[in-house]
Amino acid sequence: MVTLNSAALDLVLHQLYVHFPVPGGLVRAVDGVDICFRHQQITGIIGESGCGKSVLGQAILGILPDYVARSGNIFYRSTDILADNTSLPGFYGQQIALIPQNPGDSLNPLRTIGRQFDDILQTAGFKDKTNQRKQQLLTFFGLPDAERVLAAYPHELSGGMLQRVLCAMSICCSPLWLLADEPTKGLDETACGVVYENLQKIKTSQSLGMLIITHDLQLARSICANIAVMYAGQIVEYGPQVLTGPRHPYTQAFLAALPENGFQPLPGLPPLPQDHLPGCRFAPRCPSCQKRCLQEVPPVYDSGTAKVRCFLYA
Amino acid sequence: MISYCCKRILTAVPVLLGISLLAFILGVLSPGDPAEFVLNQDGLYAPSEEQLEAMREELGLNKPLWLRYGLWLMGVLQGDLGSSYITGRDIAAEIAQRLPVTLELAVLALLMAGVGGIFFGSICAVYRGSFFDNFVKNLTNIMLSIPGFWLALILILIFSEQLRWLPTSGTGSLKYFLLPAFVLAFATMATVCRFMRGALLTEFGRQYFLVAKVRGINKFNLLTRYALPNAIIPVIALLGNYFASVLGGSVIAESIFAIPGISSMALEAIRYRDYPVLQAYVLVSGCTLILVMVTVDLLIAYLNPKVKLGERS
Amino acid sequence: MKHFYKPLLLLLTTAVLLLGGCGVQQTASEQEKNITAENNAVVLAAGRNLAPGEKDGYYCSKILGVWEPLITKDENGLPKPCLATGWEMKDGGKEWIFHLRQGVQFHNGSPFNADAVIKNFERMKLGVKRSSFYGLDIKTFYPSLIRYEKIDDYTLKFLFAEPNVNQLYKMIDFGSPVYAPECFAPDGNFQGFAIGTGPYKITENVLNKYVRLTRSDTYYGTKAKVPEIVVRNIPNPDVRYAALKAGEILGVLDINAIPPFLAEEIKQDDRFAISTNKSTMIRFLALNGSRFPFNDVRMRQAVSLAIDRKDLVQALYLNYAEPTANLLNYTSPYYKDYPVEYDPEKARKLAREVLGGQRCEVVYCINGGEPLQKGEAELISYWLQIIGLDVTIQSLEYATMARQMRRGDYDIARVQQGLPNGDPYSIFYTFMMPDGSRNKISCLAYQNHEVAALLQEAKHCTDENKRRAIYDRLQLISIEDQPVVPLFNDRSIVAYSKRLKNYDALVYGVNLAEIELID
Repeated sequence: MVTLNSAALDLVLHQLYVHFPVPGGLVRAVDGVDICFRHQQITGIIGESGCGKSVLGQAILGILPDYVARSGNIFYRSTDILADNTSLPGFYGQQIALIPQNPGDSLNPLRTIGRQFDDILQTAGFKDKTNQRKQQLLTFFGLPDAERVLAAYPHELSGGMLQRVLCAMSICCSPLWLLADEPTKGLDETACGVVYENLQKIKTSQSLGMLIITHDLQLARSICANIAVMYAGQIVEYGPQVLTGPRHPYTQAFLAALPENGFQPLPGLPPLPQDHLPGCRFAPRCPSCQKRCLQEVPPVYDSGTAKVRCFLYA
Repeated sequence: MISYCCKRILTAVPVLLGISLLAFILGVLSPGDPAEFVLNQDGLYAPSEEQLEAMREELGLNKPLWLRYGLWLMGVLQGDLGSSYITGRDIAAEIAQRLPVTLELAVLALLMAGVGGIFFGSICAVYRGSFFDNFVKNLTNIMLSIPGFWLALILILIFSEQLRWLPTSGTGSLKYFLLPAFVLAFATMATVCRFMRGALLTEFGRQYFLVAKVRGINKFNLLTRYALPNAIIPVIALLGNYFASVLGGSVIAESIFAIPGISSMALEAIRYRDYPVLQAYVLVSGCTLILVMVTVDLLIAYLNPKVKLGERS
Repeated sequence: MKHFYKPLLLLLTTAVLLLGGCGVQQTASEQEKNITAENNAVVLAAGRNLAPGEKDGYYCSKILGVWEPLITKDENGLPKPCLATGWEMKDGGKEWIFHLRQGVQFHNGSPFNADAVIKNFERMKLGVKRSSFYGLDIKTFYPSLIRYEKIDDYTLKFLFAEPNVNQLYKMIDFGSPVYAPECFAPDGNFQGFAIGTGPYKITENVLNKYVRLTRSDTYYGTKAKVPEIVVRNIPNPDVRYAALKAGEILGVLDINAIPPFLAEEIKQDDRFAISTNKSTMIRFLALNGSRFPFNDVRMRQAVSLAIDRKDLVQALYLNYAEPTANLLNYTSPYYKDYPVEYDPEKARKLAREVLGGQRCEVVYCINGGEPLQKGEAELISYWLQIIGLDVTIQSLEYATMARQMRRGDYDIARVQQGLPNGDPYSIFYTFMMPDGSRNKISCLAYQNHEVAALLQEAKHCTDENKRRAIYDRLQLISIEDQPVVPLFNDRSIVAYSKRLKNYDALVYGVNLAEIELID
């Protein structure tokens, strides 16, 4: 739903559907998402594995595979970047940048860090022969020994160092938007701490919009201004106080299942990727389920500062 | 790295000893009396028993086997590869004359197969699914089925006889080597092309490549600086093997195009049971093979910093 | 650490490329020479290397016209003077006197005289010299030679222990080559080019590639017409053909210069012509006479009568061959043209007598390296099957076939024989005498007392008519007894561009001194 007062630099997703044709049928990875991510705000997208958040990220970045069926729009700077992002100059790197997961796999194993860094700077037209710019960035992220890092190959650096390098690379062209895809996935506590630190630094030093796709609630709590909760391809709740005051039954159950809240399990399982439910995706497991929920897809209702996709808030 | 080279040389010695011994044994076991071949010119002339016996004495065929091999080995260690039974010429001099010719042919064939295969394979990968890609896929199928000697004769018919662009045979400047090198290279060119295409498509799907794409790096750099270096390493190993095999096995190209290289020398030696030539050939081939393998190992280690010397990715 | 790689790698690859590049360098300059000479040099090609070089007993083939023998032969195969102008036989063939040609110089200016010839003989006495043409063995060409002596500067005397009535035939061409003594090394091999007395001299020899001949202006006879000839080595016959059609060469020569099929094809192109002549090659079937069924002469006769040689020659060799059942090749002056019989009925009858109405399985060995032999074997098997022989064709490598024949492990084998000298004595001896080489290595197991007696007589016979009668009788016996079954006499075929004149096939090669360039 496109609100009339959205600034041009917002990322507006409108009726977004992304379906993967598979031998068994259709996998509805993203199944009707309407949301506006505000510029210069940090939004977290949380949800279990398989809820479709990664696909959402891919759709925004424009790296969905060719065979995927998509419909809807992603508006940015008055352009539908889902249809075509080449019309925006410097879309990659200057408009939007990525901090990928698995730092070890995300760099070219045969090229030194310095050279790869230069490749990225080149896309924005920067030449950094003296390595000054790179050094600044690396030091900012806690790698003062920049010379050694720049001359090294990816396999010669530890996971934590690579994570810092990737952060540096992502903001080196001063992008307007940053997408962090599961930045703490598979990392131990100290490494996670590094990530939190880096993201904080980015938040304080740059004025950009950030989308953090994660299932690490601590990360979400610590830096995200807004949180969107995804379930079965849809955004079920969105707002600044989702974690403190959850409204949607799924969010409540999700939070109740956390160790600090008592490990209360949620009965049932999420729907299979190919399953197509006519009504609310969460209805079969919802304690407050009504007959209506099973038949109609609930629209998005306002409830205080939050938006909730649930008939309880009609 | 020096230690690696030393280690390789040390392990090469028993290998070379083994293959030369094997060649010697095979020569001794196979039917055919070299003395007869020397004297009878393909059946034109029937030598008498005394003549045969005298020739056998001269060639040293009556000595015990271990002595023959031992004498040969001692000669080799002093740099003397012996003389041909049939022509009496000094083998080391003959090889010194023939090896550069085969080498030139092999290098040219390698360039054609390598550059051609990598170039077309890359284009196919980048424009996957296009008309060009499908066309090349079918073309490589055909190329892999065409026998070399047939291709050689057809090419001579077209380019030498009809069009007169290239000479039929012989050696000389570069244009003499174009057709024979092409005949040697074309099947491997097809293999390299398909291999390259597959390897590149694999790289295109890798995480680092997608991340690099999302950084906005331009397509040409993505291909040449990211995908290609990663994809090319197994291709280099392939080409290394190919080069070594061409050095020893370019028989068809050499005999049809009248190129006096070491492969045609080996063929004649086999036919006429010229054992000293055969043993020298096996030794020289073995040495060049080891040299090529070491070069390939060094090249791969240079290109891929993750690989330690001695491993191949 | 990484810094070591770059320079070492560079070094290695440069080394490899340099070695290959050296090849380019030296061949590039040769190519230039080719280009400049090609304009007035006649370029020909042969399948064999006609100038094998220093370690070959003859250095090069006689075809090249570089060296000359004392005695050569005329069109009928009879001995003709070359460097020896006259001769006398004494003492029933135990003494021979040769008169040498006067006023002849070698290409290097040194004189041709008795001293020079004697030095050549001394060289031959050093030992057998191997060659790709004929083994140079003084014992073969001058059997039982006691000594030779110089009578004067142009007369030589040879003394033999046994009578050598047909000594002249033994000395024809490859039997009496004369080279300038200066071109011999102490071990009897050549040091540098061969220097002879012929119409051409060698100015360049790139082994396995080509040999360059330049006209000798001091030649005592008619000087050669073409000042420069280059003979290239192209082993593959199809490529030779292509080179001829492409204009790279003006003619092909030597054994198997152009196969019959290609000869027929090139005849149709107006720019080219072919020339043929008799060849000394005779192709035949060796039959294992040491075991059944070919130990019976009737079975051998049956095989000979069952094969339609005319049909064979026409179908497979396009009539570029002469059917024959005679052991003696048609280039010999003693050759008598006996009719060739083809009688399948008689063949069947003879075979039935031997096989007793049964069928017999026989093994037929062919040389896998020759393409036409398989078809020929299948055709012959068809005829043999009519007379009761069931043939299994075995395609073997030459060495294996030779070994099997030696062991008597075969029934039929397809082989060939050249004519080492025009006098039939050696041919009949080697095939039909029990200790003859061919007889032994093919297990022919042929014995005939009349043959032994005739050969003994021929050895001492000085009366030419009587000799002829003896050889006629021997030829007849060979046709009747068929110790081997001759199939056909070969024909030498050469092809050339019509830019050349007088490119006529001889029995052996082409007369290079006669050819002319029309331009």
